Amino acid sequence: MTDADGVYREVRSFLLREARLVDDREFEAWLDCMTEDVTYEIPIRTVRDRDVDEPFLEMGHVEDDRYRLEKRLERLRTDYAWSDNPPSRTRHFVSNIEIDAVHDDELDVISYLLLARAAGDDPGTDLLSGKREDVLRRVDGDLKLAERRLLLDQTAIPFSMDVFV
Amino acid sequence: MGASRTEDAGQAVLDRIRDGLDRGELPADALTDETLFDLEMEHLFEDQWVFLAHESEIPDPGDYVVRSYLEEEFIVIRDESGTVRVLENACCHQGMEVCRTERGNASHLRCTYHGWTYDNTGDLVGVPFREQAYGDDLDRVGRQLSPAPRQASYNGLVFASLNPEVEPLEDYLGDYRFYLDFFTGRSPAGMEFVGPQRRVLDFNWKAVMINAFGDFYHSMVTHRSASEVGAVDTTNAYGGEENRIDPEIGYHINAGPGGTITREGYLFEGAPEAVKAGHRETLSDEQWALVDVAGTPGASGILPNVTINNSIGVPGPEESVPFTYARKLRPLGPRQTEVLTWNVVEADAPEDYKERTREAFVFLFGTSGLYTQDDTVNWQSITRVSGGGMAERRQLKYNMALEADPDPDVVGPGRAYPTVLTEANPRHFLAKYVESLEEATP
Repeated sequence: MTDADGVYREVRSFLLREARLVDDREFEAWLDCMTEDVTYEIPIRTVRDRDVDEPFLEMGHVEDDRYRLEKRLERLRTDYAWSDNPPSRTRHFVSNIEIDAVHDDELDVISYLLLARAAGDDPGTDLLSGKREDVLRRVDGDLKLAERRLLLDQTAIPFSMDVFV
Repeated sequence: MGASRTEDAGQAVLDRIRDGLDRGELPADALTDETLFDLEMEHLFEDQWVFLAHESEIPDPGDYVVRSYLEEEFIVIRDESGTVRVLENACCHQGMEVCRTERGNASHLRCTYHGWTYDNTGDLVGVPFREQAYGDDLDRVGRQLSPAPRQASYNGLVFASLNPEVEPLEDYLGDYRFYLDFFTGRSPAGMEFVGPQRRVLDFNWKAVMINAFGDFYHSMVTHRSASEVGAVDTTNAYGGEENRIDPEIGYHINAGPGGTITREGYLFEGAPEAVKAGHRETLSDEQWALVDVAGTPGASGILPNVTINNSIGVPGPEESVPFTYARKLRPLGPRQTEVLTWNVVEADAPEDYKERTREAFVFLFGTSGLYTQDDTVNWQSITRVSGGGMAERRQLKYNMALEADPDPDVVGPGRAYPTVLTEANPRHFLAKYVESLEEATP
């Protein structure tokens, strides 16, 4: 096994574990996967001419930093986070993982996300799909998520985004 | 006849709604009834002024956005002379969309079916084989993209109406303009609409409007989690150990087609000095007197499809950031609504402040906002159980402080109720809603 294979396996393990932590509602452990200066964004896709380089708006559906992610988790720990009680059920399918670039202590990682969300007694499932552009950084030997940008395929969101991606 | 039965059924629901007005009650099935929904779409949305876009979204000649009205689509485009036009997104030949993107810049719009081409005023300027195919007789098929029957702007807000006889927009907005200026008319440089976020959610549009017109009462319960973690600055709102609202903290004010709840004091203290100087320059002495007496307009709605809000977020530690956001509602059915949401900011504000207001807004409202998450639960839940025979008999209650009189000493037009413990604004919404439907369906 080459070093590159080892790094790839480590990246894949990191992303799959991170997805499982969210789906299992292990939010504190999930937050531990993030660096202190993490940025976490879902920009807004628009329907644009194919010659337009940037179909995403300046504003996002989500524009979080570590502080705001912590506040979201702190809210979930209160007894009054009504949108999360009863909680929706999510399944994060993470695939097509590629290491796009290797820097000193950081890796640019691309992955695909298929997010399935079920809520209430609705037999249907809401689906969102997209490409994630992540930056993983090695901190004290462990990989941490320093940047996440989820580039959704959808232009309209079919539910209140009370879930992490 | 099927059509008239439907009309009659809608009228029957409307009659029951009218009967409940004086008691401050609304039959629950008003949120789900299909026949009433058809009446609303035909006589409220088609006959009145409907908000589509803000001029700041299309700053340069050729810039356009495509916005849905009901089932139709309009292209809101700035032509080469700088005039904003609202054009039907359908080729005058055989009805294909001439814009299949939601925004962009174009000097010309070309139908990709037969190649008919329009300039950005909507005039037809190119038809393949024009001479051979039609000779000189193009009137048979038209000469332009149909403009909206009526179009008008206020504070850069672009409205359209399908009703050629609709009253002038300024008259429609009427007394509410005094309050609307606190959201969209408070800067000499105008306001900038950033976004929008787009969502399609399962709730009735009136559930949102009633809440936006005036419900401060829900904040301490619905939004308790967000306020408890300090995501929003609840100074001049609610707080303390029990997160209780102070009834004296603001006013319910309604005027024309709108309602707003004020919050004591000037909500923009935390804005940069230049932004505040712009407010002082732009708002009238009378409007400033309102701030002194009743506070700053906050949660607001305008019939039929706009909500707009001034609020104060805490996007970072110890950092209070005043911000404004607006929503456009497009009913897709009695139980489903498309929602567009923008951050609204002074066009000449410093870039770092613009960015901070955007982050505060995204954190609290819109797709993933902590406030909107919990509001959405309410709107969806109410809609979900408001169908069927029991709902027909159940009355939703908007009768808090039903007998209270408005305070005559408050400056500004309309009626001002000196408490947030009232449902005066939801009652105003329902009265205007019924009035609008009845004017159209005598």
